[in-house]
Amino acid sequence: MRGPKQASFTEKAKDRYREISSGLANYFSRAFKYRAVAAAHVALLLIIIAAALADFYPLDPFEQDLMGSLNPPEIRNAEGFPGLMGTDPLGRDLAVRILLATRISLVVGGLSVAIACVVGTALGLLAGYLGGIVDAVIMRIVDALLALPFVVLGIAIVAAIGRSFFNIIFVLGFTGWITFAKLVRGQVLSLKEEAFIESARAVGSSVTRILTRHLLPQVGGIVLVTITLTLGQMIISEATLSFLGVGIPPSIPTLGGILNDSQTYLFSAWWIVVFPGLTLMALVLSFNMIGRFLRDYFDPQIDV
Amino acid sequence: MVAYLAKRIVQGLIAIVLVLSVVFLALNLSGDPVRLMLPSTASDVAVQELRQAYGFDRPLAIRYFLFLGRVARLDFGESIGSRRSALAVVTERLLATVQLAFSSLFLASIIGIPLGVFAAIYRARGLDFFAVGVSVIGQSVPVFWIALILILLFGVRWPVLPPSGYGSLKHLILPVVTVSLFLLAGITRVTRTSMVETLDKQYLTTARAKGVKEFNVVAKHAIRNAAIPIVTQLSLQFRFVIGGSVVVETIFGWPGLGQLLAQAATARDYPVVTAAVFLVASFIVLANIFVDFVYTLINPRIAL
Repeated sequence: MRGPKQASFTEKAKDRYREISSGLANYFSRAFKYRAVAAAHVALLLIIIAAALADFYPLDPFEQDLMGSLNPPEIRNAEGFPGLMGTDPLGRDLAVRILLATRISLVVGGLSVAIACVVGTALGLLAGYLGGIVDAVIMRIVDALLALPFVVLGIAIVAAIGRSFFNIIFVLGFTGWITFAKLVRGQVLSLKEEAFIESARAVGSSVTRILTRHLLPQVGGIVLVTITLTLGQMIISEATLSFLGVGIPPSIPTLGGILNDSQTYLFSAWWIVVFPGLTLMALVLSFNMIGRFLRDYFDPQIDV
Repeated sequence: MVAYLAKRIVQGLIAIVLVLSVVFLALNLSGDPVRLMLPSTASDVAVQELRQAYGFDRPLAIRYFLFLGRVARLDFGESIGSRRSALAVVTERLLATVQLAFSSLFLASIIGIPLGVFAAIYRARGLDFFAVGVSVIGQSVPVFWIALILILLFGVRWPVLPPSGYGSLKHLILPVVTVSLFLLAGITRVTRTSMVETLDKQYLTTARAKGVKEFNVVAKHAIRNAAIPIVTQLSLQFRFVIGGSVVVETIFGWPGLGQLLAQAATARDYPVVTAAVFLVASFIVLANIFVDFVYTLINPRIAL
């Protein structure tokens, strides 16, 4: 396994650095060959920066101004501030609320995908490698979650446990892990007959070691693709729950929540409908474009 | 055949029981379900009475088995809102949802399947880019936003269609178009992928070599073979058909399961939520078993 001479720590670190930087260079040189994929990377970066810097926006997302209720979009409003996306029924600036909501979307999406990814990958590895009763139990749970549309299960669970920030993340993670489990399991099933796994077993490696050292690195690509594609779906799911009034509590601005409020003003204020939706679309479209590219980059066989 | 059918039915039943258990546990582990059912101002006496009436003073395990027993007898209790059998309340809403779901599935299929087929035949040309665009953008937009935009366009800007309601054919158009646009993405993508794979097969080259006309190569040889993965994918998409309908109903005031479920969740009408979960899960499980039979019609090589 090891070379004749033990490489020093700094040499190893240098090698690793070279490996990662050449990998990244290869990735970006391929990604930027396609205009749409390049645009998705740039758009996502801009959205993340804008959402992270929302606190520095010159307007307060919570300050109500009933005199300035439902102002249409304008470059500069009466007080000389930017009002690019108009105001909501309570006179709050829509642009800054959308920025804040986008940040919530990203945080909720990120945390719930993290839960889904860890749980799903672990269960997928176990189901695929151990087979038998473990596999049967995990797959029956997957079947059960597939027997319901996400919204129905989401509404039912939230109705029971109540709507709070962390409950929503739990619900999303709880329903999202099956995609990871199914794909990882499929991958492991085809890998486990390969020679390198058999030899690992022959030299007496423990199950934990085979799973974490040999199989986990092999499913890395498929997991990364699934993370990217699932992030978009999670963001849409959170928005859907918030839109239906069973998502993030209304005191926190969310894209779904803003769109829920917009229903009352469909006939008078188009901007409250159009801008949050476009933001949602730009965000999810970026993730989906990058996910599709990653799929081709790693393995065109995967179909998420 | 009979053995296979029995296995599928048993698996389906397990899935339904598991899903109901999740809802039961969510409700019972997250605090006092009686408190959830009553308004927060209810007196302690009222809480005690309801607790005894519903048997909530017994241990969890006993309540779980009693719950399963009642489920086996299709008894979900009384709706808290209307004091009628919860299952009856839910069942009478099923028809409207099924109407919406199947009309949309039909519309999306008659547009999406040809679009996917032609995109695969004329690969990397205008129509193909259009089809890929439809499927990528469609996956990135929440279904409720499509609904809001359509209302904005055809209910407000050009008021030609009623923005909400149920009964006439005119009321059907906007909800069905919304759900179809939502489904179109998946159907087009699946058809295109499947056709692209089939068109590369060597038996099509053989067919062309022996002089079969190009139209017949596609219509008789390719489509029939590509149909199997398409049907598999469509059956997996079935929960999106119901899920999409459920979300869209609340916007268009369509008196189906989705509208009922959202209302029941906010009103904490827990028997109705459970009954709705049961009905939707059973419906989807049955639909998936039915699809397995369609297989044998398309492909005589598969014997169940």
